[in-house]
Parts: sequence; C-alpha cells; structure tokens
Amino acid sequence: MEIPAHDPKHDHAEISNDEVNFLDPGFLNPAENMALDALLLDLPGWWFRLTRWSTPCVTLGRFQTFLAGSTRSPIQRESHGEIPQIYPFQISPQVTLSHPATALPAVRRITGGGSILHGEDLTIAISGPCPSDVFPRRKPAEVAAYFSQKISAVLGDHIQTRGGHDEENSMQSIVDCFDRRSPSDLVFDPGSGPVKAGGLALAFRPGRVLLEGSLKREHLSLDRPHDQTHDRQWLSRVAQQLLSLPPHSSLKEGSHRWHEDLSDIPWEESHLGECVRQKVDSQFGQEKWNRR
Amino acid sequence: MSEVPQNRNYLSSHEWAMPEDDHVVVGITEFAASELGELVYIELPEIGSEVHFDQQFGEIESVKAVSALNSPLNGTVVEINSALVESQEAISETPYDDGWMMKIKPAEDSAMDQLLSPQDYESQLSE
Repeated sequence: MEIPAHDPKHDHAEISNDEVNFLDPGFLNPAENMALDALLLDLPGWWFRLTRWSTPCVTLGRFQTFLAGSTRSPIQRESHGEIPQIYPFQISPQVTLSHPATALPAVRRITGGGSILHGEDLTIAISGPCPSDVFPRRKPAEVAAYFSQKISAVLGDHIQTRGGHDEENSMQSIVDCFDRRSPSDLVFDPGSGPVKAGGLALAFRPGRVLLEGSLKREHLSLDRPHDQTHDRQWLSRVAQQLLSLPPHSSLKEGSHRWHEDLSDIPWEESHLGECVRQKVDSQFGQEKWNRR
Repeated sequence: MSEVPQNRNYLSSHEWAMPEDDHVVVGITEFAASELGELVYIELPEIGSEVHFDQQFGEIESVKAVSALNSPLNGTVVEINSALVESQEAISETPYDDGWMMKIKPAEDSAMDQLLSPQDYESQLSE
C-alpha cells in the first residue's frame, strides 16, 4: 500500500492546550513502563511521554513468540551494527523474566511489530483521540504514516519516512524491529540505501490510538538520555508538528509543564501511579502475559 | 462503498452480529477489514468465556498496529473460527462469510436492537 499524503485540510486542527499533556516520570522498570503506556491509551486528551528505563531490556511485540528472540534473523541487519553497548542506566531490575537472546529483562508491549532492545535508544509514547481532527480515519497505515512524517520533520532533512508498500506477512519471521521494513520506518541514507533509524508501533482502542516509538540516537544526532532537557524539547517539537499547533501556542519549546510524578495525575478516583502498580501486578509483571 | 449486508446488525466500531439458530455469529465488516490492511495475527476468546456488549473480546494485528475487537452482545462464546488463527485471509476476502470470528449464546439481557441497523451503519460509513 502506498502511503497516502496527509490531507492538508486537517493541518490546523483546533486543539486546546489543556488537552495536551507531557509526561516524564523518570526511570521505571520495563513492566512499569509498558503498564503506563497501556494506561495512557485510556486517558482522555493527548499525551506525549518520554520513556526512561531503569535497566536495559527487550520489549516484544504484542503477538511475538517469546522464544523467537533466541534465533537470529536470516536477513542481514540493515544497520550492520552489533547489539549496542548498554548505556549505564540506574540498575534496579524488578522483572526477573529474561530474554533468551540477550539475558536482559523482557516485557511484552500492547503494540504490534518486532522486538526492540532498549538501552541507548530514545523511547517515546504518544496517545490521543482517533478518529479525530488529527487522524480523520482510524486506518493503521495512514495513522502510522502521519506519525512518521511528523516525527521525521522534527529530526531534520536527513531522516525520511521509508514509504513504499506494506510487507507485513513477509516480515513476521524476522524478530528484531530494526531488521524489519515497514512504510512508516524512519530511515536515513548513508549512500548505500536506507538504514532504519526509528521504528513505530501502534495500538488502537475505540476512539484512541497509542504510538510507541524507538529511535536510535546514534543515527539521529540525539543527545544521550542524561540530557533530559534536550529530550523534552525534542518531544515538544514533535507535539507541535503532530498537532499542527500555531507558533504562538503555549507549547512553544520548554514553556509548558511536564508531569514528573504519576501520583499528581488523577485517574479513575485514584492516581496513575497506583494504577500502574496494579497493572504491573495483574498483567505486565506476569509471566503469563510476557511469555507466549 | 463497502458492502453492508441487510441480514445483520452492527456496532459503530465495525463489528457485525447475525442471529443463526440459537446463537449469534460475530465478525468485522468489510470496511473494517479494508481499513486494517494486511492482517498478521488474531487472538480470539476461549470457548466458554463470557463476552460483554461493546467490550473487548479479542485483538487483531495489522501493519504493526494492534486493534481491539468489541463484542456486539452480552453472552457466552460457544464456538470460535480457529482457522483464522493460522490464516487471516478470510477476514479480508470474505468478512461476512468464512471470516466470521466467534459464535455466542446471547445472555438474557442481550438485545440486537441496541445495535445499529444496516441503514444506520451505512449512514455512519457515508459520514
């Protein structure tokens, strides 16, 4: 399927700043991070979230087989790279299930796609209403293409959306997200053909969409994760691009409030932090969910 | 315009329900299948499990996107189309026939009239 161009009539959607939330809750363990993303899918409004990992880990696509990660893809890695050295995060692993290929903690996402090694990447999550002014249709290929185009616009001219045709069925035997090819990939071309620099995956519920994205910092001129300000400014620019907010918007770089404490955020007569813990206990910290 | 069979009712989230003997057959519409694109995985409920009106009964993956499948009725799952777990082609090719997903025994409080009529669903698609 050819990626359709975004309809320009939706480029000035009227979105109140009150509906746009920024979240940077600090270092969470893998199960907590995935639980929080799942909850964001159900929260009203727009959420732009930086995901920081208390430990390097692997996330698996919603339907991936857990043990599939122990076999290497027969297709040569596009990036020709080794598994990167893990950036020294604060180590406090609370998930004991280890991925067989890497011996790292592993947790299953609610979004689709392939497995991702998190450590040195920039991980983000965005959730919002769909269909909506931003996404007129709940068509996964179109929604993914729009996300990809807007994120690539913030990353600079050297990063493009891959485009082209879906090859989903032929990609299923490939374990690693960065070995797969998809029209919504963020790619750059060092002169020898496109190299995947970012992968996006989605989950839909009635009226809502969640994007989880992993961007390779080494290919994107993105600073290391200890530079919190830089990541926040970057994600703010993504929000402005994605929501087509006017330049005078209070979302102007760095001028809006970032939620840093989940307990500040009301959620179903409780607080988001408590709900994350409950969801870890019932789902994302459970072997039944993570191993299949 | 996608085909909208007149012998069943619909959820606004694009699932259909068709009475058949003492149970109700459930699937997704041609429009939904077309929008989803190339399908790669589906998870259906276990036989005997309870499903609830407008609540999730399964999930389906296409183009790296996982979408919820919602039940049009309250009831108990009596049969699933297990062939779909191996191949989802029938959902795309014949969503109103071989692409059915589950059969449920409706609960007593279940009512087809809380669903969209074919005409109402056609109107939704044309908006």
